[in-house]
Amino acid sequence: MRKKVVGFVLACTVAMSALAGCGTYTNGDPVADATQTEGNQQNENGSSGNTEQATGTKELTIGVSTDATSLDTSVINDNNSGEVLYHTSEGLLRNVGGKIVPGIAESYDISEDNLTYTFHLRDSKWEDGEPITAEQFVYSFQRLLDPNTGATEYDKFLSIVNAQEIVDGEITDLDQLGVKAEDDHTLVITLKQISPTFLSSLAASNNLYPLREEFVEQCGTAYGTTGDNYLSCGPYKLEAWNQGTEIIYVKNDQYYDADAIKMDKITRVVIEDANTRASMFDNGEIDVNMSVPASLKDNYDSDTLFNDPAGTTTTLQINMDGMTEESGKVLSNVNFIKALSYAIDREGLNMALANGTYDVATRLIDPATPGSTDETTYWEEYPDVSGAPTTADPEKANEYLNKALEELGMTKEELPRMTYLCMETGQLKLYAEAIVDSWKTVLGLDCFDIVQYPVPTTIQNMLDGQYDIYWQQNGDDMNDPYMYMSYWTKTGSINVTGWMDDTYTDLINQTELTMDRGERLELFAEAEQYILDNGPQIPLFFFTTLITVNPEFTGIDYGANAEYLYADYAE
Amino acid sequence: MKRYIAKRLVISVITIWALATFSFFLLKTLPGNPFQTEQLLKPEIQEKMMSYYGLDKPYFEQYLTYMGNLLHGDMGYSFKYTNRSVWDIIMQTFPISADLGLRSLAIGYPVGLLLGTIAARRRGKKADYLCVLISVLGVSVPNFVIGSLLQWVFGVKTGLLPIAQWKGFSYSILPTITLSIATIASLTRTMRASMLEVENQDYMKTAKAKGLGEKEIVWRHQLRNAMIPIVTGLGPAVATTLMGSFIVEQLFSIPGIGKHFTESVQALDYTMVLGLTIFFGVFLVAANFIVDILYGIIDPRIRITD
Repeated sequence: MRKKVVGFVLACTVAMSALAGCGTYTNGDPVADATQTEGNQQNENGSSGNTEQATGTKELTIGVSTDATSLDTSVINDNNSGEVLYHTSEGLLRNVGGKIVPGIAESYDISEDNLTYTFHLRDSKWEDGEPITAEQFVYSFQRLLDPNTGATEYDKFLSIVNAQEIVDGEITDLDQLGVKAEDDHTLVITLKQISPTFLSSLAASNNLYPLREEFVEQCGTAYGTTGDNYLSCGPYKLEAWNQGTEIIYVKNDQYYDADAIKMDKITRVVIEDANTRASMFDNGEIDVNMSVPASLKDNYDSDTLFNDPAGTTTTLQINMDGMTEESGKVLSNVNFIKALSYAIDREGLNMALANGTYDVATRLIDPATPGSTDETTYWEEYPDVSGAPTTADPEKANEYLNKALEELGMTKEELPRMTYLCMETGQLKLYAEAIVDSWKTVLGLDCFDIVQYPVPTTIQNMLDGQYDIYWQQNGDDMNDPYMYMSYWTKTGSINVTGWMDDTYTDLINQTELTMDRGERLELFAEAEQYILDNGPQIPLFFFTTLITVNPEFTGIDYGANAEYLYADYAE
Repeated sequence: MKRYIAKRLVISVITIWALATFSFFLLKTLPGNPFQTEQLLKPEIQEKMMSYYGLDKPYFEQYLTYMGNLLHGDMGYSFKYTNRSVWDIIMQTFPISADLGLRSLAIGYPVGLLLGTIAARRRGKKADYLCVLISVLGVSVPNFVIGSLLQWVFGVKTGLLPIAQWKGFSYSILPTITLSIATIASLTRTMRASMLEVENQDYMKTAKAKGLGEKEIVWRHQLRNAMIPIVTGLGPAVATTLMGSFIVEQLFSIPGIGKHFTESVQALDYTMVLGLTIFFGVFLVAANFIVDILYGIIDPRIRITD
């Protein structure tokens, strides 16, 4: 009997070690391991991490927190997939560091009435040498708007002739869309109304890269779900996609401007844990860390650490209708909202919770928004728009509160309970507690309940008006305020604030009637001050993204997405 | 035996069916939909997506469609990872988690059993206190602390081992140790308690009275009987360990199945949640089944009849 038991244990051990030995590694072999470990030790000794420099190939390893979800340009709606497509595909125009530059379209003409856009395509090729044609762009536009694709990011292109009808299923013949190929190199887009944001939306979009109909049809629903089911037409081509682990790009020799692309190989590794990612950067295992926790800010020098705007505005959104009738009465009082706003110490919160890395917001439109000329920004042109102090202003806050209570005919004790809703992500709970606490200490109000849910549940509650105060981080187009500002108009479909204002809606609608940027920005400035004075948004922060880049590299940036098209070794 | 197996199979199928049904309707009671991500979609676009994926149909109709597809082995497509099939994602990530899990069990079980046995044999002596200390520390220190500490010592400070990723044997050492610590800790405690309990049994006294040697008593009587509670826990323990650990996989950036369990629920990725639940359910039922058969081998008193 003893033998049997020992035998069983032995058998188990053998089976386990056999299984353990079978290996599920995502790539690499023991030899590669050895060199990898060696590399680490070299870094420890302070020598250069660029061992490849000697052999002549240029390689870059980028650490990110999240993998792409799909490579299908029509269906993606997340930044990470967008980032991968941005580097491996190219659309009509490109958005490089906030500027619109030519892409596959060498040039374009706009008709007198601003309704017809004619794009002239250059001679360019896919990774397999096939030409890129206007017809492939037509197919991509049609596929984005076709309700049978399951696309979500079409709403910026509804100004195209028949786009709305196709999205709604009223027109099923996709060829009726106002996007036509005149010949292989000429693409004509016709709009039904003028759209001042059309070009910048087109340049910023990751959803309209050319598509080869035959290839897409052949892959069916699997298009873009693996590296094999995807064709590159951009500066880099996709070499491999080990899902959840890494994406490898190599330089695309077929790219028309291949000379401008310096890196031979870029590896985008997914390291979810922020501290692990930071350790790997410190150890030289990755050259770039695309998201650094604010708490580690002080570990890096200014030639390594960069703080880039994230293109979003964080506000407390007030439900002026209230979650209950009682809270609605209070929250529709503008002075009450002002009291809440003036009691918040934005600078203090920023220092305490974000290590001072955010930009404090006293207004709504993103500071990075370009102005009416190439040299100026919107903020430089309209510096005086403001609706909140940077640090708490207890005197004014209480002044507003007393005014509000007088208008409401209530005392502080009579105020109803109010619900502060936020998502269960990141540090939102800490912010909520700090803000509610400042209302308690500065205003003497103790009537706020913090409620947290997972992302979908939180959004459902917000859309159903099941909140009084909602922590909102929102942003869309970094180049133009229209998308963001139109959310709060009477027809804005996520405007569940109970604020239905004619003056504001008119101002925003007027910005769509002219192509003149100066005139439009003036309207936006007026609308911004108006909503700050009367509306449901309390500005808090403009978030930023902290990245660290090994000083041996240049050309790496974080704009709307991570950008490393023109990455190179530093001289 | 055959009848027993057949009976167990029928019960297993019913269990899985109940699990799938229950999970399906429970999921539908959660507010929100899979298209509500941090990148807020407009409500009219959300509605279009709901009808595109047939999520606007009555729940029962959706349920019938889902179960029908499931019978054909089709778990559907993930919402979060657009157009990727749930089965493909499971098959891509599960082997990695299972690999890591097996390694940690291969270390955790022998070490845990050994420490537990030593502690019980040396009860009240230094060795006992040391083993108990190890197990208390292992249970109470969370594995992300242990993992980070290992990363810091072996990765950052000495550069002996890579900090993260899953690319070869050297990459697997730290996560394996991290994951096995909890197993070692809990097994040491269980084994020690179990050994001590057996020691007071009548058959132990009989064995001693028979004049059997110390070794003989421990090997033949004490260990075998003490193993029974361990084997009971073996099925669920193997199943949960192979299903990956959210924290360890995230810390060491291992593309395993662990994160999907948490992520899919948070994102309300219906098909993914159901697929994982059913997959885990089948695995757990199978593991328990095997354990029940193993009982008979270890303990002659539990022989399977009908």
